[in-house]
This record gives sequence, C-alpha cells and structure tokens, in this order.
Amino acid sequence: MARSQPKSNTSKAISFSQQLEELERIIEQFETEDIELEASLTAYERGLALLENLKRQLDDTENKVEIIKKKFER
Amino acid sequence: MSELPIFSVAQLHALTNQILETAFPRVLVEGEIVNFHVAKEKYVYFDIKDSEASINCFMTVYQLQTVLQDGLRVRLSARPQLTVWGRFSLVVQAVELTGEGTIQKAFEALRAKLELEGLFEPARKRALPDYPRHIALVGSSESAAYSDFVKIARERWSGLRIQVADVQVQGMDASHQLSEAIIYCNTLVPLPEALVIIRGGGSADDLQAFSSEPVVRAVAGSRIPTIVGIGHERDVSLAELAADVRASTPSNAAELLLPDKRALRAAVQSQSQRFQRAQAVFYQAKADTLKQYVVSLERHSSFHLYRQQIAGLSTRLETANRAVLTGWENRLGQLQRLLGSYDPRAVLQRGYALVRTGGRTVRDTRQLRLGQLIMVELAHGTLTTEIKHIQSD
Repeated sequence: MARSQPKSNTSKAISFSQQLEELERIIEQFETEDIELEASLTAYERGLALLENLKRQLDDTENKVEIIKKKFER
Repeated sequence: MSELPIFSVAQLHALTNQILETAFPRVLVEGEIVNFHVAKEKYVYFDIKDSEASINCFMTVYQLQTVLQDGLRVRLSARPQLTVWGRFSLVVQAVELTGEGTIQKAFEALRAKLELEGLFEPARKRALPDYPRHIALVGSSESAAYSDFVKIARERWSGLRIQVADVQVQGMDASHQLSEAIIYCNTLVPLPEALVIIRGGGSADDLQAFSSEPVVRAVAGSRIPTIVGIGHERDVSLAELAADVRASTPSNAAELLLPDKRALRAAVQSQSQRFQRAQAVFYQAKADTLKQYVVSLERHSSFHLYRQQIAGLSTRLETANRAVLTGWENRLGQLQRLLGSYDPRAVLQRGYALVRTGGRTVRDTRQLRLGQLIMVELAHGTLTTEIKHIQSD
C-alpha cells in the first residue's frame, strides 16, 4: 500500500503501529520545537485524534472467531 | 462340468473385482516395504510383505504423503483388485508410517531432501505482523490446543478476526486435510495477516502429519507468514522447521503472534502524558518568547517615544497643511485682482480707445501716415477710420 497522507479521522486504514509512529513523530516535533506555530495547531489536533484511536483499539472489543465452512476431507 | 457357467476371461476378471470390492471396499494392512520404485515420476510401485507373504502395491505420486523407502514399516489404506494381467494387487490410497524407528527413518530422509531444497533456510523466514487484525488458524476446533489459543488471544488482544479451518490433526487423513487447509487459507479474501497452525502434544506417531511432505511444502509455500505451535515434544516436526516462526506450544503461538494489550495500554498512556507535557512546554515557550519581544520592544526601541513623535508629527502636518492651503487661497485672490487691473477692457470701460493697424497696437503717430486705415476698439464695438490729419507731440 502506498503511504499517502493519512486522513485525520481514520483508524482502520492505517495500522496500529503506523499510528503509534506518527504520534511519536508529532511528540518529537513538539519536544524539539521543530514545528511552526501555525502547523503546530494542526499537529496537536492530529495527535489527539491518534491517541483517541489508539486507545479505542485497545478497548475490550471481543475477538471474532469464524469457523470456515469448507470441509477438507478427502 | 457343463452345469457350471462359462465366463470369458474378461468377465471372470470383472466378476472377481466386483466380489473383491463388495467384500473389501477398503482394507488396512500393515507390513514392510520392499521393491519401492517410482515410474515416469508419476506411478509408485512397491510390495508390502511380512515374514510369510508379499502383495503388489500401486499408487500415484500425488497420493504419497511421506517419503517411502525399502525396509520401512507402514500401514496402508487400500482397495484390493485383480489386475488385467491376473495379478492380485492393492491400490493404495494412503500410507502411514508405523513404529518409532520407521517414522524416524522417514523423517530423516524427508528432512534431508527438503533441506537440500532450501525449505528450512533462515533467510526465508518472514516477520509476523506487529499488530494483526485478521488471522487464519488451522487446527482441530475440538482440541485443547484450539481452546488454549483462543483463550490467550482473548486475554492479549482485542478486535481480532480469527478464521478457523477445522481439520483432523492426526490419522491417515490428517496430512491431506492440513495441507489442503493451509493452501485454502492462502486464497482467503482479504488475505489473513498471519497463519497459525496448532496441535496439542502427542507421540511421534500422532504428530506424523506435521512432518509429511504435503504439509511441510504447504507451510513453506504459504504467502501468509506462518507460525506453527505443536504441544510439548522433544523432537521438532518438519512443519515447524519450515514455518516462519516456531512456537513451543499453541498458547505460546498466541503469545508470540499477538501483542499484549495491557502493556500497550500502558505505553499509549505514557505517550499521552508525554504528548500533553510536550505541547504544554512548547506553547509556554512560544508565549514566553512573545512576552520577551514585547518587553524588549518597549524597553530598548523607544517604542513609546516614537509613537508620541509620530502622533505629534501627524498633528503638525495637518496644521501645516491647513496653513499652506489658506496661504494659497489668499495669494490666488490677490493675483486675480492684479490680473483684473491689467485687463485693457477695464480701461476701455473708462472711455479710452485702443488703436490698431496691421494687427499692431498704435502708440506713436510716427507709426502712421495720411490716408491709412486704422481700427479703433472701444468698450463696446470697433470702428475703422481713415487718417485725415496727423499731429505729433
């Protein structure tokens, strides 16, 4: 999958690890002040959205077990 | 003699096979392999024998799921028949190795063969996904191995879709079912992110299918990264060697494959705090910088003075402007009056006349001669007249 700029509210489209990485990058920009004031507002919003998504994916949604109908007998 | 029915050879052959089929639709027979050979890479021939008898056997290479060689003890699932050449023979459907020694020998032979092909190369191993959302599982849904996996999966990870291919994991059909299921899982849409193959513990005999050639090849050929977890056993199966990741048990497979959500929650929480701190520090720093700018502007750049000067200048400019304008108005009035006084028509109004000749104003009689026509301009009207007399001053 080509990595396009992720939309602000998608959670399923990009993986958990990608979201964690993106949040990490945003935090680093703030920590090193490597971001303009204007851009920082968008980044801050994005960081909050990512955090929310990450937390939601760790909630207690049940795993879904499906038995495949196909039989494999000879 | 004449009371007995008379058959053709073909009829007798067909009748015998009918009787055999009715009496023994399927037989299981144990013995030792001798005269093993493969013809045209398709047909497998061998004899199965014990100390007292020997029977011809035939099968195709595709049905063969284990490495066979002379001297191995096997259990065959077969259909007896009479060949057109009149030989009694077994058409073999499945072969299972029996006895520890035999299994070990076949295992070593297959291992050597597949190793040579590079199926167990460490360079082939792929990583499992970090945070899978969708996996396939091949195993018996009745087994403890399956329950263990599902239980650990529930403890560790949320929102996971598990597609289960329910198969026999031991017995004569296990190798076929396992390999078919692995191949089938590779055709699922969307493709699962990982393929888990599990089985509880058992004897070497029970685990044979996991070292059978079709299963090992299916594992090695899987497009989906594989993890194989087979119950506590001293000896590793060939499927485990071919898998991308080998787990020690089915539970361990769940642990290796799935992240622990409790640990991740803690990690996300810590990132959340770090983020809050980072942004607070960042914006505080920006606010401080701004405050400093204002202070230094006021302190060092005589900001206030300039502002007053600018205000003062502005007022003065306005005043000056007004003064200049008034000055000009007055001056314009004077000029107008002055110009008015120079207008010759104003003089004519007082009774004077303007004399012109040839377009020039006449100021001296010496400009004129007798009989010349002159133009006399009065305040109202012009007249042309002839000179009759000239008198100088």
